[in-house]
Amino acid sequence: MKTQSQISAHESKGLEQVVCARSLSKHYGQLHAVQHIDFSVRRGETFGLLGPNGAGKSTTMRMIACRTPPTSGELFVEGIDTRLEPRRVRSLIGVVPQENNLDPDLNVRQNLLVYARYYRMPRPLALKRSQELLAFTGLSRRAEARVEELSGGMKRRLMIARALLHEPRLLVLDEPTTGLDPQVRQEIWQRLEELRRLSGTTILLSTHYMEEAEKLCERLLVIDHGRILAEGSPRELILARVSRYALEVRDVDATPLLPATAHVSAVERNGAHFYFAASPELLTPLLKRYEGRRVALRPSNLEDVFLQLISDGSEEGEGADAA
Amino acid sequence: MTDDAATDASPQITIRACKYDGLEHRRWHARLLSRKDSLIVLDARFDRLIEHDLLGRILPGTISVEYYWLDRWYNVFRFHLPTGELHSYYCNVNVPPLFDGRVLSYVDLDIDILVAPDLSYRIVDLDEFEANSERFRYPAEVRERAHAALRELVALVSARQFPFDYEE
Repeated sequence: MKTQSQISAHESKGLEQVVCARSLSKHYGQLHAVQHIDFSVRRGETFGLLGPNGAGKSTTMRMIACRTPPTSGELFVEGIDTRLEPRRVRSLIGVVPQENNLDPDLNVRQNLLVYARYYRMPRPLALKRSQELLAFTGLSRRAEARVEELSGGMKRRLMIARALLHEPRLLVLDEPTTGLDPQVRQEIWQRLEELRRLSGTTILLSTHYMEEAEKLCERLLVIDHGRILAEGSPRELILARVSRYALEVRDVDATPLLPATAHVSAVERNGAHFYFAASPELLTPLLKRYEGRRVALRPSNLEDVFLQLISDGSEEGEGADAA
Repeated sequence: MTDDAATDASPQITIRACKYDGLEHRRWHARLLSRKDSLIVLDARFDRLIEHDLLGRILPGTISVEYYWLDRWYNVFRFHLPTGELHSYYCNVNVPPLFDGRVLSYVDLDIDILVAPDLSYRIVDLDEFEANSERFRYPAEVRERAHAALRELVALVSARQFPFDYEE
């Protein structure tokens, strides 16, 4: 049990840290979905949880949204202990779940107005906020349309509008663009960037799309098997984990990976060879070894970091199992 | 210089370098030196001092012998100081140019190679290529062609093959 002074200390930290997790764990029986993770989300930033399916992203999001309690550790949102005051926490955050849970029997505007009632919002305010949010999400002209008439992208935008009705300090999005086509994905990104720029809302999202993480997030937590593999800005992660340039060779078939040298690292992944170096000129001598193959000389990206981290993680896992 | 010098009688050509969205980002004039098959060779001169990030100071009177191929995804500029001495080569990766006899226009794909007289080289603006690939949504074929062009240029430089076989 926390003392009042300890809670106050967390509450004062909450001024800068919208989310603060310390040794946070969640177990479902024998399954350790989240294992002793520490992280914080700063006010006004877009923070991403990046990881493959089953990494523990959604479980972490559910704990933050007070949908499931932590097994152990501490989790504060706006300085409030999620275990002690879940209702208060829920009133401060807006949640966009991965699955569409809009009411199909209601039209677009009604979906917002009904939801506003859950927050005991006076009717005139609910109407005003709905109007504003329909304009912000580009749905004003579809206000009277039934949900089933909307495209996938429009539904997702409506879910974002609904989560913003009560002007939450923190917007939590679980894989906001999964299943959407690339153009619609760009549209959603644009809305989220506008939201951050115009209102300063703190955004926490989970994703397994590298491009999404790289484009939207100022800071990232890379997680797998419930553990943190790395943390930092996309650029920091790239610079710290892999060299600045990559030579990618696709469809290598049985061609052996060329040996790494003092200045060039080499990795084979999914039928492709990757070489990393600090400058492109260190990589060009390798080109003649891959005549007729598809090659790309490019800056390293977050996917390089991610795959490297994940493969390191699985090797560690295998080692531990073998031991 | 191996190419015949352009004379005033040579037709004046306008060169337009555009970005992928079609917007022109540079324009200059040159004289036609020669044209054979798909290769067009132009002669241009810098008429004012340029401070270039990579090339340094380019003096007025610097000569640019420019090689364009109508079927290649790159072009090569060979720069000479006003005294005639070889200064450097500058290679641009681009969509093959269009030429109507008066105007030569091409879409620049950002990646450049700066080649010193000793044929050591530096590849620049790979980051810009990636950023513009996303911004302008380059099709996969364009991306692959650009990478193939880069590879071809590196092979030509490394083997000291035309047009990197110039000797003073």
